[in-house]
Amino acid sequence: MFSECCLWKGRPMFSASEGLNPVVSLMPGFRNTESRRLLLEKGINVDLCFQCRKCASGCWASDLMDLNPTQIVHAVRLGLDDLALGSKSIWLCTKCATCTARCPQGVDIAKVSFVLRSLAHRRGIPSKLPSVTAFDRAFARNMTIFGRVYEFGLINQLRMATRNFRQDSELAMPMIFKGKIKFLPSLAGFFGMRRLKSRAKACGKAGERQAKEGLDS
Amino acid sequence: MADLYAYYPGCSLHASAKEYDRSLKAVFAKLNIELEEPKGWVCCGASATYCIDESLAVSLPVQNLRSIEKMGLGEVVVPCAACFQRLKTAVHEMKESAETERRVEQILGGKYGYSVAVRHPLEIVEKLVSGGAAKDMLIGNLGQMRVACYYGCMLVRPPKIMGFDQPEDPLTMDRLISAIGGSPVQWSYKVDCCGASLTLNEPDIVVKLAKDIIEDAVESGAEVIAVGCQLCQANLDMRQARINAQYSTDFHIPILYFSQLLGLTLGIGAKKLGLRKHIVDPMPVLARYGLA
Ligand code: SF4
Ligand code: SF4
Repeated sequence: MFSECCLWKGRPMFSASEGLNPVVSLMPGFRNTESRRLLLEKGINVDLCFQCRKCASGCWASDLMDLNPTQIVHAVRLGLDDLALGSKSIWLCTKCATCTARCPQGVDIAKVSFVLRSLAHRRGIPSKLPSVTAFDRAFARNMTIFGRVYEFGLINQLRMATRNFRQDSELAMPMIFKGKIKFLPSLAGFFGMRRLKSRAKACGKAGERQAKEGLDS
Repeated sequence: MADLYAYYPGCSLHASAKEYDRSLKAVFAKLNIELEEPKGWVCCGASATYCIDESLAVSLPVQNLRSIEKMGLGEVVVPCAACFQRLKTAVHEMKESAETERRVEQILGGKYGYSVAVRHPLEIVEKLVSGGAAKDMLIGNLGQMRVACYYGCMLVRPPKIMGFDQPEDPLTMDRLISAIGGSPVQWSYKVDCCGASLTLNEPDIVVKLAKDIIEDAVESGAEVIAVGCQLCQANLDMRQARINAQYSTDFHIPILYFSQLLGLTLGIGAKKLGLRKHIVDPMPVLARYGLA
């Protein structure tokens, strides 16, 4: 039965890295992983999940995902961070929050996916949907440079990042014709953003220093 | 005296969704409500920034709310559903976690007093119009035009934070449409996801999702889909040609903002409402009802 379980596939029953009895090490809460810790900090307790699968049945992306939302929650529960962080699902999720709205146990599944996605970004884990990973980066960069999103620039940034220059070329003419493309960026939010960005950076550094000192002492 | 609200348009209403911005401003002016944009507002960060830099992503909306607070206004109108959700979520996160609040205050260099209520224009105009306060201003009506009201995700979910209507079957826009003489259809996709920003990087997925939504609307008898979010508008409007090519369908259903439909009944001209900016031309349908 265990070997049939999707979380089990390809995992040796005994290995030096995972301990002698993986069954024990897979008990919920046994592994205190980073995603678990981050989620608890945000008040999300995945252990409340009772596997009703309502989240998976309502998710538009379930059939395109490698692990459906229920399985993602369960993977986090079991401490299988690598599985969750390496999944395609966290990149497919549009944060539509249908899952969150319907979970009878009050688990904020959309937020779980948010947190996993930031963690995957931070660790630079190879993404199974690179175009979406590129979009997140391009969007954040664009916005922090200009202060307000410069859509025309964003589209071109994406084309550069994914090397897909022909995507949606059929939409270009109608959009230009209808005046939907603004060719020049707005700079009205430029200074406000620059101020915030430098402060956020300074605070981030101070935070890191504090955390380090805390560890050292 | 005219009511005064702060107005946070968000980035796309100044670029690809200009017609939403313009039609809203025209409608609010007609309804005798003034809108004031805070100077130098910054992008709310959307959900993408949240995945890259969380502290910054929470600080951005709060920074904007703070400048509104400084203007002395208690309510802000946020038409972009994505901004609406980000603003509300950021405030919620600040209130929930003292640690987040501390970090954000450090970045902003000051406190936020939580005095600004974030409102979607749909809530405001619906109250005015179906409450009867705007009765004498309505000079036309939609003549029982069959409208599918599409809310999408971000207006209603997550319900605990958004607190907007009933999450599975919202009726705010339906009530507005009935009040201006339209006939909202019963359909099943009013809160389904359109794929949002995936449209820029995984268009095939969005084409499929948009097809399902449009198909259900058309099968339910709708002649027009009304929306309150520029991402929904863009996805449903711009993807129709590709849907028709890929699924051998023949959809030509106009996707209009609720503000444009309301504007028509308030006697505002098609040009001012930006009705010619859509890819699927709404004029034939509107002409059938004597609205254009
Ligand atoms: S809906 Fe909630 S309780 Fe049910 S499987 Fe999903 S996370 Fe678990
Ligand atoms: S938020 Fe993500 S996981 Fe949840 S239903 Fe939407 S797409 Fe699926």
